[in-house]
Amino acid sequence: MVELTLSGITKNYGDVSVIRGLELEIARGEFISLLGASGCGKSTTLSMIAGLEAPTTGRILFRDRVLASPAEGIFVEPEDRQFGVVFQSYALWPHMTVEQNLAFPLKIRKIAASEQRKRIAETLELVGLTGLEKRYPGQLSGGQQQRVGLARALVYRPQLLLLDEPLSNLDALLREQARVWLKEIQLKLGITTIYVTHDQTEALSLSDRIAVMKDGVIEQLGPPSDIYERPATPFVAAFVGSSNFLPATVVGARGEEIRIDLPGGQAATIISRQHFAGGEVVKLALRPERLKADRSDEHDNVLKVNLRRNVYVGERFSYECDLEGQTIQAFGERPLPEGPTELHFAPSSATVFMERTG
Amino acid sequence: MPSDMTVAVTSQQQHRAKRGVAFLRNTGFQWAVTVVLAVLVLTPLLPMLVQAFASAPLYDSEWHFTLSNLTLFVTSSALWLATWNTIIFAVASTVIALVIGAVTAILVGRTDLPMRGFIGDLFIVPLYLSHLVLCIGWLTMYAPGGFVTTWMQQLGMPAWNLYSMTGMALVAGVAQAPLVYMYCLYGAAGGTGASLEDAARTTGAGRLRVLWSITLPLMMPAIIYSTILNLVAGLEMLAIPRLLGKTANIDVLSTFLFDIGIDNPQPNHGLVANAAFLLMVLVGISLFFQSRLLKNAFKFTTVQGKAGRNKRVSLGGWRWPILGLIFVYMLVTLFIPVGGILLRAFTVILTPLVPLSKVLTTANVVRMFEEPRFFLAIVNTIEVGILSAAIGTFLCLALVLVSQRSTFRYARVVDGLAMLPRVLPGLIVGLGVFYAAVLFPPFGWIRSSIWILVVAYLMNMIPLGVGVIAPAALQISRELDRAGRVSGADWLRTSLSVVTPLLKPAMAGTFILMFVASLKSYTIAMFLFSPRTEVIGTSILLLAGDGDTGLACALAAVQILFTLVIVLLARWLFGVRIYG
Repeated sequence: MVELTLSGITKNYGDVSVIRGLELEIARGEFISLLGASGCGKSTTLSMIAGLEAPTTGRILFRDRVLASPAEGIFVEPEDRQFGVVFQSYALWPHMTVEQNLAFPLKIRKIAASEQRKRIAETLELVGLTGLEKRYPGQLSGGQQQRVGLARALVYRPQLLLLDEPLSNLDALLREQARVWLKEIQLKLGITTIYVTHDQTEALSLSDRIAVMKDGVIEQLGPPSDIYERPATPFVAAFVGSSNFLPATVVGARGEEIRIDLPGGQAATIISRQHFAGGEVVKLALRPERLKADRSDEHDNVLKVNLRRNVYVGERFSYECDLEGQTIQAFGERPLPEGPTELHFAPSSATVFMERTG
Repeated sequence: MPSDMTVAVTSQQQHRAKRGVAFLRNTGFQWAVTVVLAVLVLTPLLPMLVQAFASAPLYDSEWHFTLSNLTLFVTSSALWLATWNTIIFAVASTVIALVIGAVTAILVGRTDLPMRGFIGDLFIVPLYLSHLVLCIGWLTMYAPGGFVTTWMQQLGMPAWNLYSMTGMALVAGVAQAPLVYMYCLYGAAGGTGASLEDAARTTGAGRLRVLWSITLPLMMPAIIYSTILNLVAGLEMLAIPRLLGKTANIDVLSTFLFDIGIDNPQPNHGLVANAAFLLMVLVGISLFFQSRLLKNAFKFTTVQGKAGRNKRVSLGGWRWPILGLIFVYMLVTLFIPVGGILLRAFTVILTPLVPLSKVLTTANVVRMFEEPRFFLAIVNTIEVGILSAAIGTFLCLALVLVSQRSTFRYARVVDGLAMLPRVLPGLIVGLGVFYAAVLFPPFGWIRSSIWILVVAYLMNMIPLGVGVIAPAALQISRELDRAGRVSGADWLRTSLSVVTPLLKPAMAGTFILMFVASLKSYTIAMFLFSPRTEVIGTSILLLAGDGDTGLACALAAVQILFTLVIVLLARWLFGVRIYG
């Protein structure tokens, strides 16, 4: 069942267009991430859903209620949307205690004092902050503040939860814990959640689906495994995880198997769902972690490269290689001898893009 | 199903009704603030613009548009002389203020001068006192026949004449020096430039070279800004030219305006409006130059990651002589004049020729409390101060909320209107409100009450209050408002429950600042007061003009006392530092 629909959304600030035709449908109970670099329009999209910004054109629909539609002259103010928002800075009101921060939205909804106390206690228990009611935000740690931010967004039982990079102000260890914890709460409540982040690990580990955004449009929308294994564009391949790119030419195709020529007179076989014609100029994307020093399968492709340097990065070695002037990076557990060497990759582990899409 | 539909329809209707109320609350509030501001700021201006081109006073029903005022304006040599004097006076006092203020700022901010914290606090004391009070002090001590003057003459020292352009410029310059000091100290002298100075030293520049090539250029924006402020202050200053220039027949625009416009049984309103207009043009030109000069201000912006460890320039053997010099300066320009006021308030006459014990009296103070006129002036001053500061604080808060924290369509207009009075010298405000009160029937009733002063002070002080509240509001993250909105509060509720409580310290500061400013203010009141609405400032100026110095000093002492109490209370009770 579709919960939220964005159709034909654009957003201009003067001459600058930030969102350029966005289409998105979100199902009830779904956890969806808007992933992209800063300036890609992900936060603007979230703001438009929250009602903090109005779209220039297009329509935002929640269930069967139109939230914004400039053409029809409809705009529902943020206070009338009943959505919960967690801000990047948490935006806790510093002059109110934790309890008062949570009580504010309940007071506005004219909820009786006894019920207020009950709900505040429930919500604080949910986020694991029972006992900190009387503290001011300034007396809390970053992680606690983030939990209060979430509690305040949940205490009035919103119909939609919007999170704007809620973990980006936490340090690395805390961020990992918070991620697990956040997912647990979302599953427990079953609340439809839209999560804005520039962190691919967060997006991949939390989401049911990810919308990768670039320059105000969605580059790819799909489950995390699709985004990672079958990136739709070179940008997605480079932004989610990392990729080596090599220029290539299609020699021929048989079913899903494509033969391509690589620089330096080498060739490879790739499995792709897309169809390519012979002679087509393409771009091959190879993930560094899928390039192995050892050949594990007879179908694996061989890539002859020149190893310039082994770089020790702690958990593994990074091989900095060269192929006809193109830099190729691969990972392995032991250093390899410098000079000419062979790397291997499975036909299904690489992606071929038509040159024009890049 | 039917019941569901009914529910849906009702909820739609409720929603619409709710939106209507919300619209009234939010947009209504924003419009109300804008209208109040527009009326407050524009009402005093429009009649004056019309008057400049009217053949007769606007309150005569028989007037038509004419350019003859302009010809009068061109042919009046007295007006031209006054304009010329105004420019000389403004420039000379600005130069004096600049030199004293900038040098002190460098000494306090960048050197190892002993007791510099104390000197810094002491140096800004004149900011709390009005020019009028300082001038009265100088008058009792340094005017021909004044205490110090007579004493020096007895000692055979050469005589000086305070009743001259030099005297006027000196008093005004000394009174304005703290302003330059403040801007320069927080501009560059306050230590941000320390690492830049170190960098220059390492490239081989000597100490003086560094001062000249690095420290001074870094202070340029502060110097330019305070120069313009002082020029504008010089243009509109009324007390010093009136008390010191009158005897020497030196007229400036402000005294000229006062004499022909207010202190005259048959005022020539056209000429007054024209002269006022000319004054506005002069002020406008000053501000224009400021914006042009500061356009390249980025050149002076100190780029810095960490706060510099404020390494100070050593004065070496000059430390104590310079400190002595500063104390002599403070003694001559502040302690002796203020001491003169206090002494004169309790004496029949103040002169070294008669021993102090023979002239001591409480008559001045007794008269001040017994004559209803003066007692009323004291009461009025406090009432006007509290009313204008209280209303002003809330008005400025509302203005900032609308201009900075709302999506109101005319938010920028509100911002522009709020800053407009900055261009208007106090006497234009006084004159403008005077015209408006005469002209617009709704204003008529306030003419004989202190509300006319409250209204004029309010208009005059809006930029002051916005100047405190707006930067404070900028420090409050917009996400706090947004969190309020998505939690279900509308704009007004968010503004009042989230933003306003966080602005409380800024509001306390604004109230104190406005209260002190209204205590100091006298120029506006000089154009507006009637027998029942005198304030301390107007009484002092009128008494001093009539030669009743004793009573003037008693009132000045009261004003100093009030200011002192408020400033100290603000500092100790609320931790509010008015300048700093």
